[in-house]
Parts: sequence; structure tokens; C-alpha cells
Amino acid sequence: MSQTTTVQDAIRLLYILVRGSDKISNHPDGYVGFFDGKAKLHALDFWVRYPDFLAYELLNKYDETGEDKYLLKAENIIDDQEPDLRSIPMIRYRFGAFENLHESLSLLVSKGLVYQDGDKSDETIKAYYYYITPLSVQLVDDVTAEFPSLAWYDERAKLVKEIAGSLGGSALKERQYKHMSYATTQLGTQIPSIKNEVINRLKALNRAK
Amino acid sequence: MSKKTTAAIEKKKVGWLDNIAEKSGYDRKIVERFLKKYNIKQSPNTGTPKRVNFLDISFSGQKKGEYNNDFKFEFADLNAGVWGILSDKNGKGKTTALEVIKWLFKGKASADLQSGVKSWINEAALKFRIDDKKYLLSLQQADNVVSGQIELLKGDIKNSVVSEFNSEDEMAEVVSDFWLNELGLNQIASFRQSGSEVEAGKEVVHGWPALAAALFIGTDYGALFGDTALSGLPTRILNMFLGLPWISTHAALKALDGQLKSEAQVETVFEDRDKENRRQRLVEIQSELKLKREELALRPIPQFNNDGYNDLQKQYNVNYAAEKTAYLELIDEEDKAELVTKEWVLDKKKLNSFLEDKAANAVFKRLNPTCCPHCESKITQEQLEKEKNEHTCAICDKRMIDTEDSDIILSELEESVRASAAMCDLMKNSVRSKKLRHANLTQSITDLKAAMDEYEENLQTVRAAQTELDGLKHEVTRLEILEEEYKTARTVESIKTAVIEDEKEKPVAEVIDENKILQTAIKITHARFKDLQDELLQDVNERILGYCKIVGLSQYQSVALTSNPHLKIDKDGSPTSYSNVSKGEQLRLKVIVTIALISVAEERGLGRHPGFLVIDSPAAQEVNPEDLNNLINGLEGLCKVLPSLQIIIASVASPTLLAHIDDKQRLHAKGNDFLW
Repeated sequence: MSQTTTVQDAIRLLYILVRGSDKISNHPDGYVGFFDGKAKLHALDFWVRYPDFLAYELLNKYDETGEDKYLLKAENIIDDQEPDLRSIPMIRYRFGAFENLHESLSLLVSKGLVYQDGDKSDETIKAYYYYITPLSVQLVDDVTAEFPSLAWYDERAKLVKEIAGSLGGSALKERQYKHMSYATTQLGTQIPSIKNEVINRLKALNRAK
Repeated sequence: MSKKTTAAIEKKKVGWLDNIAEKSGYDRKIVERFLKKYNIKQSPNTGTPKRVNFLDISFSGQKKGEYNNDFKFEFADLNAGVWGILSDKNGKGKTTALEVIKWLFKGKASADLQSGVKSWINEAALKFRIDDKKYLLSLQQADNVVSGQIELLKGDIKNSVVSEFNSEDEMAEVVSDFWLNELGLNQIASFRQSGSEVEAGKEVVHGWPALAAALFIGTDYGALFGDTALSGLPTRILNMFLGLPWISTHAALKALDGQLKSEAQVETVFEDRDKENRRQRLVEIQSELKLKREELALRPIPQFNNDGYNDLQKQYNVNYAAEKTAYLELIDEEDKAELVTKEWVLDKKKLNSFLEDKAANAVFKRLNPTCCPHCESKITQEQLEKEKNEHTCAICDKRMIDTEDSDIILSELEESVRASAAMCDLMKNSVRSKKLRHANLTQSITDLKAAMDEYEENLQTVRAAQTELDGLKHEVTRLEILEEEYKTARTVESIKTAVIEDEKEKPVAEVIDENKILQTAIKITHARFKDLQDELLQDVNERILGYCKIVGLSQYQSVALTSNPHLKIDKDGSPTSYSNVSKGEQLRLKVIVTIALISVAEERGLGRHPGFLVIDSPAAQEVNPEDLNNLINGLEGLCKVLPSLQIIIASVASPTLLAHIDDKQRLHAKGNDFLW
């Protein structure tokens, strides 16, 4: 049973696509953003849906950079019980975490928020990419202010974009795949939480401070 | 023999053994057994005088060392009278000649001769006469092995060998037996005191050499008879030569007495030492006991109190159980809290999801569809108007339903979250409370355990103190027992008792007082010769006083030879004794006492002295020429009175000696000549 409704998935994807896209200008159709590929969308969606995996990645970032903000953010995720309250489990498939987003993406497309395109051969799209319309950007700004329950997605999509940096979908998937509990999850089963692992790592870091 | 003497002997006709048995109160068999036990032999015979004269003295051999010549000493054709072995100078062989004579006569060479020229001698002989019988003792020495014989000389017919010897030991034995037998002498026992107070003295048997020593007057005048003043030996030699009966028996009894007394003294010494040791130990024990008692009095009695410990133990047990219960309750509460938290998480997620969904719906409903998501064809204005008016979807034309109950659902969800959150808070408080309780109980049992350990430690200290106290009490008791033990005098068994069992006659052992038998025997034995001794000594004393005048001791007003023997002298009205007069006087006294003895024996036909004397170096430094002159003068006279008396003098030739000893009766090495 799906834990979320289509509109819920659609609004989450909308935040990811708008905040995770690269700004573009002077597009003949007036698009203001470009999001490169469905794999990247899945990868960023994974970090939004698994706050513990994101916290783990934040600690990696902290290890790399030594910037306290990453450590602080990871601590906040744990303190706010996000792994319990915000996680939306995914199933592991051959190429990592996956869920069919077709329905929610269709909603975004039909409402004129996202334009879906791709590299076509034999009239079949082989690699998707998405264009962000000016309406999407305006809508996200407006509803974030209007609905506090959606504000979390705005903040989280921006954070995920920051962590992902310029990496593409495959690179992100590979990075996520490095985690043992992710990698060792049997195909077709739910990817488990790594909350305790993160908590232990945080304790170790605090002890080391 | 005088009437008195005869009467004295008659009086003793009761058997000696019976006499001792009667006086000691013991059975004759017991007395016999006692005498046998200590090897006491009866010697009731009186001595009959035998006169001995040396006839020929010779020895020969080869000198070794500075001179290597053969030598021969020969002093022949001697008889009664005064004879001299003289040299003008010292170191001409006088002493060696005398030592060889002593060797032949005693049977045993002196230490001086042994270490000196004895090994030079190849042959030696002493021809002598005992009354009418002549004997020849001859010896040969080769490679330090001595052999020889004693022959009875029978004139024209073949001599008969009395005895032979093939070693020095055998010679000593043979010669000793010969003379003791011929002269009717016995070996005499004496007691020699030990040099140590913790060692008993012992009985010493003096054989022929000790008796023979009395016939040789050397330059040491310490003893009146013989050459040693120790152990009462002079007394016994005197008695022996007096010819008294029972002398060797008496000597043996006295030696035994000395031996037993010495052993008793040693026992006493040991007993005294033991007593002293015990006294000292008692003082030590009492001193130690005093200290221990004082220490015991000052030492506090350790107080045992297990109550506190037991209370702690009880409390510990209660708290321990409570802690276990509290722990289980805490675990249970935590499980419940976890469930409640999960419930809250679920409620919270539902609420979030609802709010998100509601917001998303609101967002997307505001937006009119622009194209078909499937075919991407544009949605027309008409389609949009229709949706607005007919509430049907502009794309799929299905009726659109407004969720009017969303506020109610929201309210319910919010209520659920509030309820589960409240429950969470409640459970958190409860868990906190149970944790606190559990922590308090854990701390309390830790504290109680520490208190118990401390108590236990204190108890150990108390126990240790009690152990020490017990040890001290035990020590005091031990010392008290020891004190009692050392206060009690130890019973020392009598050393003078012996148990004699006679299985046939007396089934029960009888305790014999050996000392009583011994003292009785001594008394009775002494009585057997005492009267005769007194009589003879009186005669001897008269003779001595007479001879004193002959040898120039006319200043002596009285002389008394006691049975000790001491010579008490009244000299110019002052009492003195043998040991206090000059050497010259001692020499003359020694000679005339012996001659007096011989004289009395001669007259009474009673005595054992062989009637000859050998005097060595009478002209020594200590004896002045006048004394010597007097002595020699006197001896010449005495030899006339006692025709069998033979005196041989070895000396540096002096005018006196040369004047009184006939040329034929002397060997004289003149100038630097040697005697051999």
C-alpha cells in the first residue's frame, strides 16, 4: 500500500524538480529551469524520503569539509525524529531505489508545471529530462508561504540539491549504493533505516570533539 | 714380731668377708657379688723381705750422629755397698747409663731414652741377685725391635729361661710380672681426679714401673716415695714396701670410693647446674609472665556485634530484590513507552500526510489542466467552463467530489496526535520515574554492599584482635603451667643404689646400698693393717731420727712419718715438713726414709722393699757439698749396718764421692772421657 497519495508525491517531486534544477534563460519556450534525468530525480527523491541516509551523507560532507553546519544539520534531522516521521520507504530494484513516478509526473505535466522531454530514437524516449516552467517556480514560492506543511519540502529539496552538487543521476546512485545496508538489501525489499548507525556516528563524533 | 702385732693379727682372724657382711648388714653373697662387680681382690699376705743386688750391668751398640764408633758400657762384679758411676764432667753418659739400668729393671724405657740413644743399643744385660738366686735379663735390639729373656742362672748347670719377650710391650709385661711375683708385690689402684668438674675421675692401676720408681731417686724430690706425688700413690707405695697385708685390697677399695664419689660429685655438679638453670628459667618465665599479664590487662576485649551487619544484609536483600523488580518494571515500561511512541509517530505521520495531501490537493486544484497528460493535447476553454459549471473533470469528464469532511478528519488526526503525544509524555515521565527508582535502588545496593564490606573489614579486625587476645591468654596459661613446673623441685635419683636380683632366693628385687658395703669394707680392711702400720711406722720414725744424725740432720729433734705419708719435722724447736725444707735436706730425708724402711723390714722380717737404691746426681746445684758429704758419709755407715743394702750413685765426680766410694766400686770417666 502506498504511503503517500499521488498529489503528495507530485508536490514532493515538484519541489525536487524546481529547487534541484539548474536555472536556464532565453529558452524559446520560456522554460526557466532544466533537470537532467529521471535517475537524478530518483536519487534526490531517495535522500528526501530517507532523512537518515541524508544525515549520513551530511556527516560524510562534514568529514570532507569540516564545516559544522553539516554536522548540525545531521543532528537536527535526528533530534526532530525525521527518520521516524518523514521517511517514505522505497523498494530496492536492480539500479537502486526506485518507484514509478509516472502518475505524479503526469499530474505535473498536465497542470503545465513541468515539460517532460528526452532523447528520442524510434519515437521512444531513451533518456528523460525536465524543463521547469515559470509557473512552477512562482507556485512553489507561493504555496511554501501559504502551507506550512509544505515548507519542509522546500528546505529539504534545497539541501538535497546542495549535497548532490553537480553530480549526475548515475554518480549519485553510485554514491548512495556505497552504503552497505543499502547495497546488501535484497532486491525487491524495502530499504531499511540506518538511524541507529547515524546516531552512533554522531555520538562518536561528539566524543571525539 | 711383737706381741702387740701378733695380737692385732689374731684379732682379725674372723673372715674378712664375713666381717664386712656382718658390719654392713648385708648377706655375705651380696658382699661377694659387690666385690666381684668392682674386681676387689683379697690380699691378706704380709711381705717377706727379699734382698736384691745388681751384679753386672752392660750395654753395647754403635753411636750415630757426631760420633760413629762402637760403644760398650760395662759395670761388673757389683755387690752390696755404695757404688758409683762417675764422670769428671757432665755429658759423659751417666744419665743414659742410668736410663738403660732403669729400662732393664722396670721393663719399659723412659721417654728420654726412647727419643735418645735407645736405638743405638744392640745388646743390653742386667745380672742381678734376689736373695740367693741369680738372674740374667738380656735383650737384643735390631731395627728397633726388642727381644730377650730372663734366665735363672744355675752356675755350672744349664740356665733355665724364666720368660721370654719379643717386643717392647711383651718386655714390659714380662719384667713387671717377674718382679711383682718375686717381691710379693701387687698392682695398686688409685683414683685420679678429673681435671673437669663435669667429668668423673677414674681409677688408675699402677703396676711395676710405678713401684720401681721408688727405688730410683732422681733430682726431683717432690714425692717422698716414688716419682709422683699424685693420687695417694706415695701412701700406697709406703704401705706396700712396709710389707703390710691388705694393702692392694685397701688401695682398690679407696680407688673405688674415689671413683664413686667423683661420679657423685659430677652428678651433683650437673644437679646444681640443672637447679641453677631451672632457677634462671623460672625467673625468665616469671618475668615473661608478668609482661604478658600486664599486656593482657591493658588489651581491650574485642566487641563482636553482628546485628549491624545482619541489618545491613537484610536491607541489602530487600533492596536487591526491589532493584530486580524495578528493573523489570522499567524494561516493561520502556517497552510500553516504545509502543506509545510508535503510536505517536504513526499518528504524527498520518497528520503530516493528511496536511500534505490537503495542501497538495488545494495547490493542484487551483491549476486548470493545460494538456492531457497522456496525449499532451491542449485543454480548451470550453472544457474548463464545463468543469466549473458541471463539476466534471475537464480531461476525463468524471465527476469531481469535494471533501467537505476534511476538517473533521483533520480534527480527529490532530486529536489522535495530541492524545498519543500526551500518552508519550506520560510514558516518558513514567519511564523517567522508574529509571530514577531503579537508579536509586542500584545506588542503594551499591552503598549497602560497601557498608557491608566495611563492616566485614571491621569484623575481620575484631576477629584478628580476638585471635591475638586468645593467643595472649594461651601464652599466659602456658607460662603459668611452666612456672608451676619450674617451681617444683626435681627429684634426683640416688646414685648410690643398685638393684641386685637373685631369681632363686629373692623374687623381689632388693635395693643395695653399695656405699654402705664399700665404706664398711674400707673400714674393716684398714683395721686389718692399721695397728701393724702404726707399729711399723713408729719403728721407722725412730730409725729416721737416728739416721738424721748420721747424714748431718742433727738439728731435727723429731721426725714423724705418717701413714699419709707426710713427714712432720720438728727442726730446732719449730714444726716443719718435708716439702718446706731445703733440697739438700729433702734428698737426705728421701734416702734415709727408704733406708729406715729397709732397716725395719730387715729387722722384723717383714716388708717388700728389695733393698737397693739408685741415686741420680745427688751433687746437683741445689744440694750443697756439705749436705752431699753428710749423705755419703751416712750411707757408708748405713751400708755397714745393713750389709745387704746396695746403693748406686750416678754423679759428677766430687772429692767427697771419690773419697767414700772405693776405687773398685766405681766407674770413673776422667777428664773428657766418656763412660761408654
